Amino acid sequence: MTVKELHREAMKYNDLALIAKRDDPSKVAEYSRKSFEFEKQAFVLFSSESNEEPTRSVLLRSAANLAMLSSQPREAEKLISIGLAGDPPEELAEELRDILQQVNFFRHLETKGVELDSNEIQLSISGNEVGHGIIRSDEFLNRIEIIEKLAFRTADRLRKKPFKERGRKRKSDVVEFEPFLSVPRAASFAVTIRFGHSTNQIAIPGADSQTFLIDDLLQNIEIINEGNYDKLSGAIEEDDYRRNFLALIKKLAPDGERIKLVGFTVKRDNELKTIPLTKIKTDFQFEDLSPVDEEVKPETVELIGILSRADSKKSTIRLTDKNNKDYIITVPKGLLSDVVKPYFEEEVVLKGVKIGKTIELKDVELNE
Amino acid sequence: MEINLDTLGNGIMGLTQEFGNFLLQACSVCLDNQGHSSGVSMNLAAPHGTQNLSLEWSAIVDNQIKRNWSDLQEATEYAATGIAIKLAESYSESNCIERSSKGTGFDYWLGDEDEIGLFQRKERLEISGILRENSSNSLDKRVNVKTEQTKASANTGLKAHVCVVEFGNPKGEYKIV
Repeated sequence: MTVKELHREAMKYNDLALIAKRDDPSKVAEYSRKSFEFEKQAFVLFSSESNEEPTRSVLLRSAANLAMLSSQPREAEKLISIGLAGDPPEELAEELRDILQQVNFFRHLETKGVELDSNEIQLSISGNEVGHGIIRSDEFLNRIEIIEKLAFRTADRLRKKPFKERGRKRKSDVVEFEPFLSVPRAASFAVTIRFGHSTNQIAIPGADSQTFLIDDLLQNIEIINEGNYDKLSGAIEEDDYRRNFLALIKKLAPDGERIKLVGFTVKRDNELKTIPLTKIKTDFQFEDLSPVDEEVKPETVELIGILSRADSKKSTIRLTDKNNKDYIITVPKGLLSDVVKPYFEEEVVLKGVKIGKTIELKDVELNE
Repeated sequence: MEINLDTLGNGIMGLTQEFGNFLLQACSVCLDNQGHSSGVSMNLAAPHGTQNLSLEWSAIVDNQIKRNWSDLQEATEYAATGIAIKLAESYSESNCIERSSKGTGFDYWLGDEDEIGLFQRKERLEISGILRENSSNSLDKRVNVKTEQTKASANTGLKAHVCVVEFGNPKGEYKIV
């Protein structure tokens, strides 16, 4: 076979893997592996005849990416090293480095000999604001705070409690689910979070509510990775809890630059299980994507200003723009305390929908 | 001008029929999701002026297909790819698209079926889709982002093609930079 034929065979198997992901998921791994093998052969044959760019680097980048898709990070690492050892065009060199960062991140999701109990979870973070065992403080601390909120909300939901918009955390939740952190490890940046059992109590695998909570949390993160919002509606039936969960996971997610990867590791049945959060912040959907009814089509609005007042009783907030004009925005249940409150007195970008004279909040983030 | 999306399934521009049908399905899912049926018009800012296109397809979107495409963001990207490939057939001088694996999808290169090397003298085709436009996610903004991305490969001296498609009120832009 020629280089072109081998490459096209690789793309054919990649197509089959994409289709199988929907029709027959059991075949995805086999097709992905074949796709990688053909692309690697295409590069090997090409490099025996030529080292012309950009073909050399495109083939290498493609083969390395397919190695990652077929869960062969070591193969990807070898191909990226060959690629960067040459003289790739800058754009392709950058893309090779991005895949290398993924390879390293998956390596760092491993626990490197650190034991995890069933009520513990390892959080790993990687990106431009992360060095070897060091991280910009707010990128880390904000995420720990979000994980704490996620834990308390999940605990309440699993115990069928109504969503609590105001007031202090329940004492029982603090005792059972408050997160405790280990000393950080020099991976990308990794830390073990233990829920409840603050001192030396050992959790019984599979028998503690913290394990149940962690598994529920990770299962719902996997649903978000799939982009399956219908499935999420089944997993978290209550609108307020689901809205809260989605908004918090968006804040936890990588932004794609400062933080490129966020992932979790747990130990179940004596095996390590890794769950990267694959969606970046801009991938999250807050718009209603149901088919459009032309007659009541809501108008989407984007406002920039200072969050200056909140009324938790009416569930409204006030945003003041640079012209000193005030907007009163209705906040749906599930967002005021955990998502909106941290932005008070800050300049934010607020997205909402305007129906008549009312603006309803859809998303809010710091204006950076 | 009529754009018959069904022809994607014939393996146009050197793509496999399987991939073409996959793109066709993504197109029909997104257009159906936004309440459109075959024959819907699409306003396109094309290289030689604005055109009104009629999008035609016969694929049926049943509940099973909707479940298979539950990730509407992914569907939107592939649907935009299907339409971009149909437009590249008309607006580029190329007769072939080469792909390479990137992220969870592909990147696309336009050229001719020749023997000078797989990705030699090929022009990059940057594609993006928007299911339903809003003020922060408008067609114009996305076109600017994609155009900016092509600057990274500007030192090759080759043209780049940018195509962005919006499905809510079907419209798009195809530009060569």
